[in-house]
Amino acid sequence: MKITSEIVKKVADTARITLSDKEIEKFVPQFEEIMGLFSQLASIKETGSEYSIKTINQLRTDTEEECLSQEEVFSNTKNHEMGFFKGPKIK
Amino acid sequence: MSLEILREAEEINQGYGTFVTLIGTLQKGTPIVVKDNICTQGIKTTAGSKILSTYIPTFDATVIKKLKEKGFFVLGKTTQDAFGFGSFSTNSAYGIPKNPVDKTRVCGGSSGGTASFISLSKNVNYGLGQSTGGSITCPSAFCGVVGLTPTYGLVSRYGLIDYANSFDRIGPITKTVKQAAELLTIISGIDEKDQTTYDKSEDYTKYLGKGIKGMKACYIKETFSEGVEREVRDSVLSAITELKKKGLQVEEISFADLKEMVPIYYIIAMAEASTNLAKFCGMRYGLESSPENKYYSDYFKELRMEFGEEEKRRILVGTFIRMEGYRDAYYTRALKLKNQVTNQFKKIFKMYDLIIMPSMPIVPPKFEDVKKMSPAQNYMTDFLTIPAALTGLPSISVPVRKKGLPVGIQIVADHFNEGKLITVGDAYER
Repeated sequence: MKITSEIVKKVADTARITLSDKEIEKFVPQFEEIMGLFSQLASIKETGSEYSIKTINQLRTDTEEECLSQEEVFSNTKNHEMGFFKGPKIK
Repeated sequence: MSLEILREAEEINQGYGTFVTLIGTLQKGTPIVVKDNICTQGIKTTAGSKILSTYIPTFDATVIKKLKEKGFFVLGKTTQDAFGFGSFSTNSAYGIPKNPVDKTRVCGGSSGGTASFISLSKNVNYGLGQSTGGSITCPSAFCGVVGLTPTYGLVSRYGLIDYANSFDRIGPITKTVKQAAELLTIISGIDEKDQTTYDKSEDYTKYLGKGIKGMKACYIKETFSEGVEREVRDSVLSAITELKKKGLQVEEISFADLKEMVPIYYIIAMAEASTNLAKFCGMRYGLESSPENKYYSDYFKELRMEFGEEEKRRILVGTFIRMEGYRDAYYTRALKLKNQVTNQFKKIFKMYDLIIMPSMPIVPPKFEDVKKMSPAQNYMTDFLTIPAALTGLPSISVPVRKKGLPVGIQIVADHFNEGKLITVGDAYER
């Protein structure tokens, strides 16, 4: 798969990652090599014998328990006001 | 805890860079070192990434809670590849841990700090690692210690900072198989805070000291051929001879498509990683700036500049393969093939108790050689740990070389058959 700097820029924009021109230049051939590895998937034969994983859904009991104090909830942020997280504006 | 433990830990940390945080106060109980992506109440937990440089969890992960109840205390949080993104612990924002045998070489990743420290310490025998694609097996093999990766779902992931939820597993890194069995007994079991856990925990120490006569193992011939260094091959083959002498039946089988699992694994892992890392948006996890007069996208972008190079690369590739037009060809297909591969392994376990292979195809490389590797070459070095990672199977890595650079033998069992791994690993050690 041919990877261009435009593709990398588009993906970076979608993922909200800021890349410098130097980083884009570095990522283009690396991206191409990784996608080359991933493209091997197309040649793997499907045998039709899939293992059906027994999925479980272990839910917790719906009982009251002690929750974090407001002080604990906000312990990892300075951006809070009147008991709420303060975030950026949404366009 | 004696002052000697602290003094030794500080000395090892200075020489080998094994800790992000070393607790410098005396505590009672048994010391354990913990990979820094496992949440510890009141102790900074960075997952090796700058984006979590100020994050102090308000709670203990379930495994930590269980260990504390059994008299353990956390001596320190160990260095690792950021979010587990690496095989050599060189993608760390907090110093790079070194190999205990040769400081010019890597100690493996991503649980490198734990493995290197356990190998070097005379006082501390217990460590916790975490594996997504082989991050317990790889550093354990490179540092000459025991690493046990339990079946997916045997140990709670509550309080683990995710890399790829469907693969992540917490497991012991210890000096001996007996210590790994002791630790697994404590940390395993159902947890209502992790809905993927199973009620399959046992007292794993009961599997120690048992004979291996009558147990049937196979080794995959392709794991001893192309791409596997001679000294690795020779060491593991002579370990197999030792096991045969002790009564293990060993046969050779062929599994030609082993390397095909690398893209299947990395596609799923990167897709999951790219969504998991979106939660670090400058709110709730420490690192933040002022959100005043900023729009969400700009604020999010600003904070995400703190990600390191490998983190950015995996977010980008993971985002790309989930985009419209690519998702079905990569992500969806990889999920399907994952189940197909699991089925292939389940068939092998109908005939054999165990599969044996080397833990890593190479001896610990020099830092300068790792620098020369491209990301894709780097990913390919995981081709022996990926089979068990992709299929959720349990595995143990046991050191097989007394002199020179460490080499590990990897033993894989069927789901929830950790007891067999402990029996055969322990028998080898005796």
